[in-house]
Amino acid sequence: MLFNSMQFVWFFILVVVAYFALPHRHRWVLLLGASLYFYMCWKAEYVVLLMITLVVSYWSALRMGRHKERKPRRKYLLLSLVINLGILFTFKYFNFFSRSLQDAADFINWPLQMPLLEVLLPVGISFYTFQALSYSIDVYRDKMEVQRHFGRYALFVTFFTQLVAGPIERASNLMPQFLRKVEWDGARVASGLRLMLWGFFKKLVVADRLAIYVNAVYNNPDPHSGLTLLVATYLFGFQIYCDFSGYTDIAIGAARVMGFQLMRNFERPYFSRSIPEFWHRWHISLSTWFRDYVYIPLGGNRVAVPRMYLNLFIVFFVSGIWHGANWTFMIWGALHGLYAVSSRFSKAWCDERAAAWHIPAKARQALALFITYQLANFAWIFFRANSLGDARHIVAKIFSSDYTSLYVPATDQFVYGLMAVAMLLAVDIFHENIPLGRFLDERSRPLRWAAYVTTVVVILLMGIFNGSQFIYFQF
Amino acid sequence: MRRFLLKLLAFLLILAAVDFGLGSAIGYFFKRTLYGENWSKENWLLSRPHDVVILGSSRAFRSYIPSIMQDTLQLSVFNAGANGQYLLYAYALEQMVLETCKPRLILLDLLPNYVTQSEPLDQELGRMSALAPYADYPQVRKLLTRGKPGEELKLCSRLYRYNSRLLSIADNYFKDAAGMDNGFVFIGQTRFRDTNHFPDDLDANPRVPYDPYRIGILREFVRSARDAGVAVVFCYSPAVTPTSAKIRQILDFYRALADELQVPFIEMTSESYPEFQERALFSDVIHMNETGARQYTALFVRELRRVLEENGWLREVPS
Repeated sequence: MLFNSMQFVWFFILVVVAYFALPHRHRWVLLLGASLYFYMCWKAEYVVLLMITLVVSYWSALRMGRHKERKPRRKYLLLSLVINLGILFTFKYFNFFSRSLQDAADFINWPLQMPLLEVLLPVGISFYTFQALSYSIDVYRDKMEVQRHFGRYALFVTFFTQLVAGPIERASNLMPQFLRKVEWDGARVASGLRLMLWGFFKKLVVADRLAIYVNAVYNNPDPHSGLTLLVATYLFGFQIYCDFSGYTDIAIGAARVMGFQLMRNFERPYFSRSIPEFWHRWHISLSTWFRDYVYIPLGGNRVAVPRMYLNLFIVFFVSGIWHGANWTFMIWGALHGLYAVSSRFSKAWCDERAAAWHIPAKARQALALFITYQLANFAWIFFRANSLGDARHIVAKIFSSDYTSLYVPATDQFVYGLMAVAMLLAVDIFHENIPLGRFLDERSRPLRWAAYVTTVVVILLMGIFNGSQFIYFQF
Repeated sequence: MRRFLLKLLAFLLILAAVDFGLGSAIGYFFKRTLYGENWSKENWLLSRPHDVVILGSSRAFRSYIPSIMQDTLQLSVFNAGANGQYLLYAYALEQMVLETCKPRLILLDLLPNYVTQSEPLDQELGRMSALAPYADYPQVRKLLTRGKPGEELKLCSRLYRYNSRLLSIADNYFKDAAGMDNGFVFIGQTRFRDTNHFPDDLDANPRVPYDPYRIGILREFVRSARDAGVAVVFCYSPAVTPTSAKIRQILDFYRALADELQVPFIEMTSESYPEFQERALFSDVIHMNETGARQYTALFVRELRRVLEENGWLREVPS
């Protein structure tokens, strides 16, 4: 079930009505049932994998809870890690590794026949696996008390608003919220609906509109000029931002309507002035997950400087692998790793030079913002390209002198895309300076409602209603 | 909660009012756009009476020049062929035409894949969202919604009907009839490009994958015209490549169906009219350029006149 479908609209209305009609003690049953139904709408049999993840992480946490010392807990943590990551590997990475080994064997004429699995990638598997793992690790580290109620634990992992594309929640944030009695609060519900509306704008008006152009170019990059590929790359940057942050806004908004506060996942990342800052603003729940469960265990900043750089690079490289079983994602992750390392490495030198050359702070910030934006967009080429060959071709074309023509299949459709980006930027620039939610809350009702009505009108007039998939569902 | 629900209701009422008001205002301007190549010729078609209406795909649009036909037949002719649309679109247009400005004759230019499953039905129906502004016509609405409650709800919105059209409405509003001839657009002499073949799967598939639903629509097309007292003629315009065995089978099917429904069928292939094997008359494999269209229309209208006379449909028209 997609958020941008009528099926979800009806589903959500029914769940919210039932949720507030039920007494608090029964609500978790409703939410768990609704979440499983939501997941099973995609492919019912894959709920079995979800259940295995739930049972394994729940049981290992229970076992860990029986021991005070870490040592006896370790085997249960390992069990949870091995089984959950094993499922993730089998369904997401096995065919990739198999094909890569086969290619390597073919290259050296080694008669090897690697098997391939005929399976579909279960939607949201990377998200719910990481969420379950964070619980296991937190219990192991004594940062989280064991949840003995299987239903509430299952709800924490499967909660439908964030099940398939995050935010990747922490048990310490979400689980206690299921115990808290939620009363109806009109202001909170309105605020949730407002966030959902903005999420729909991002997805339907910006992301899906830009996808038409980007897909036409990126799915057949050969005949296109460098200029067209450059424009498509910039537009993809906005497309993926609006696709993913639009999903997140709908997820957070829907949860807020029911009284749950999910963590922030985006903070207008294209206003970042460095790549590390970009990752503090982009997919925050994943960045913090990798920080807490990979970077810090590797030693984080408390190691020798070269090792710290290596840790940083490893985290970004693994993040690339997390996104998808393809060399393009690995290169995307590696590029961000290199960016982050060089940013740290050169920071002191840049500060020194800026001071020596008397570059005004504003100009320096603008330059940093410009460079960060270009670097992020360059990396998106590898993220979006269908293959490494395509990515190589696109990069070569962009850096060639082939800037003679711009592919515009339908002028009005292209203009709608640009208008959508302009509207998004206007709102984001405003929001960067003044928090939009608070700003709207302080306005009179006619002004607030005028803003909402305008947003709906724009969605109806400019949105794409073909019910297209969210990009991050594939991860 | 009660207060919130009342406020929500008030908000939805305001939204509905804005949707209706703004949507109607856009609709007012939309209905006055008559001269754009896409998304406005339907307005012209529906806003005045025509004796002959040509329906079909881009091949219909690019093959029949109404002024040449008018000169010979002394009847007003409108070419409503539509780029990227097939039988279902033609059927929807026919239903609207029969309801508003009943013509005397409808010409349906046939494409081999009108009655096959070469394109998924949902895909073809999806392209028909171009007819959303005409959702008040029951048959059009039925095709657009396909019985899905979600689609029905979307079409309740007046604004949604003009989704992605605002710029083209503004553009078409200021266009005049220059370069147009009753729905036909003069594109000049274009050079031949070896593109736009008939769907490959027709040749790849050992049997023609006929689609009973689409065949039913074709029958309904003829039946509803006949019920309204409007004559129908099937026609097939030439493509530059030789007619393949599979397309020949489909043309035979069309002929059998035309005989059964007692509809005249003017079939002009490049085998029966070898002059149309000349690439200089085409802009691609299946679409004629302006020179080709002029030559074809002149030949076609002679055939049509003969058919009309044979059927006594030209009786009151002076020769």
